[in-house]
Amino acid sequence: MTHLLTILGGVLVLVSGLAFVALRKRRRGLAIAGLLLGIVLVLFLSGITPGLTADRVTMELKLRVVTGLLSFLMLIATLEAVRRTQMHERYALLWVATGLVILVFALYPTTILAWLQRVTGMQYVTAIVIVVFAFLLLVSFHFSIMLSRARDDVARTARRVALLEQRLEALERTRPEDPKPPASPP
Amino acid sequence: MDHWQRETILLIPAFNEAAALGPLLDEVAALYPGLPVAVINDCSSDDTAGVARARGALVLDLPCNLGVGGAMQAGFALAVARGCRYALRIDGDGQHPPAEIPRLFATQREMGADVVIGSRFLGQGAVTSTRWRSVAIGALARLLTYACRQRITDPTSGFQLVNHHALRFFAATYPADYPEPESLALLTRQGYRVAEAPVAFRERQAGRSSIGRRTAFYYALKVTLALLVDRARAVDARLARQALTGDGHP
Repeated sequence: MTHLLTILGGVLVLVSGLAFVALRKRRRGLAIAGLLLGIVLVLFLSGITPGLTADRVTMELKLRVVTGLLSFLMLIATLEAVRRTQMHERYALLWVATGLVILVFALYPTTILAWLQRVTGMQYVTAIVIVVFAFLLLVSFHFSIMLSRARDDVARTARRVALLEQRLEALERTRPEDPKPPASPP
Repeated sequence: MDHWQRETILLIPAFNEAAALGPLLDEVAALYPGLPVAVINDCSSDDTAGVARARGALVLDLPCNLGVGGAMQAGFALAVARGCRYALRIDGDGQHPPAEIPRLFATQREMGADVVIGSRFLGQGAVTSTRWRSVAIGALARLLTYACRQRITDPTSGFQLVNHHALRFFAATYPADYPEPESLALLTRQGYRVAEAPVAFRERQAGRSSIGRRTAFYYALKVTLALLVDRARAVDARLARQALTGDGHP
């Protein structure tokens, strides 16, 4: 029971702290995120509370809380990055998917993980680690491809600019009497 | 030649549309002889740029594929640099009949709108679309009607008329891919006026839609995420309609 109270207290502190910060800075997005976090955490905890005794606050439960928080941090960080236009939606989608999958594993460990355990014989912790690892691997693989593509685009654009400059210089050399055109806006 | 043709530029984003673009440009030239046309070639692998140049259109030849959003932003920047009062957009596949352009201007004058969308669902013209596509567009239209706080019937339409205020906004801020629905939400949030005009669409004349079965899924997710996050964004005061037009702004 004390373990559960510790967890609940921690969550309360976290959520109220978040809400306080959000209200003080008048940051509506953050406040909404904190509220959502609170609601889902309450749902999450209420779902496992009935008949809970000290001996049932297991390693697994703590792990679920930790993974749940991890997924929330991931989701909030992603959405906030999109909101600040630091991240395009295209790349955010994979992070959102990763966060949601981890969240599902934290909320309903028995249904999905039981199957995974039966098939592979892994324990809960191992299964979680494997799943998270697989998704992070997917994300980084995706990034490697995107980075290569972006690199190609930069190279192609640079070549085009170099060729255009050369053409422009040649043009200016042949017709030096022409007035210089106004600088184009960026 | 109507007076609007002198201060307007027709922007046509095109990706591998060499087959449909020729007849479309001929049609435009026959209808509006004085109208400047710019084709934004989004790094096509076919002869889209050659077809456009052969018919005397301006060509913006992008060195890498930017998607419709990036291509259109290049076109908007061109329109701003040329000092155009209006920019029209039609798609390179020929599904937007150039003969319908005056309808957009009529709505623009009537409503005083900054952006006019040609909607295929507003009139009683024949709507040719697969069932799944209509369902998805209907859902998106409802979402946008809520986001824009005004009725939007055809959020994915690329048949658009943009005036110089909205042009400056779009040249600075435009969504990267599948821009049409999100751009409407951005516009109304920034205080710009959007209106729809009933327009009859045609079948695409040649080529292939850029949105297949797999990309449709990504389209839906991307646009939904973008619309939701846009709600949490602050209005960019420097690019708000008030700031650009000087209406009631210090």
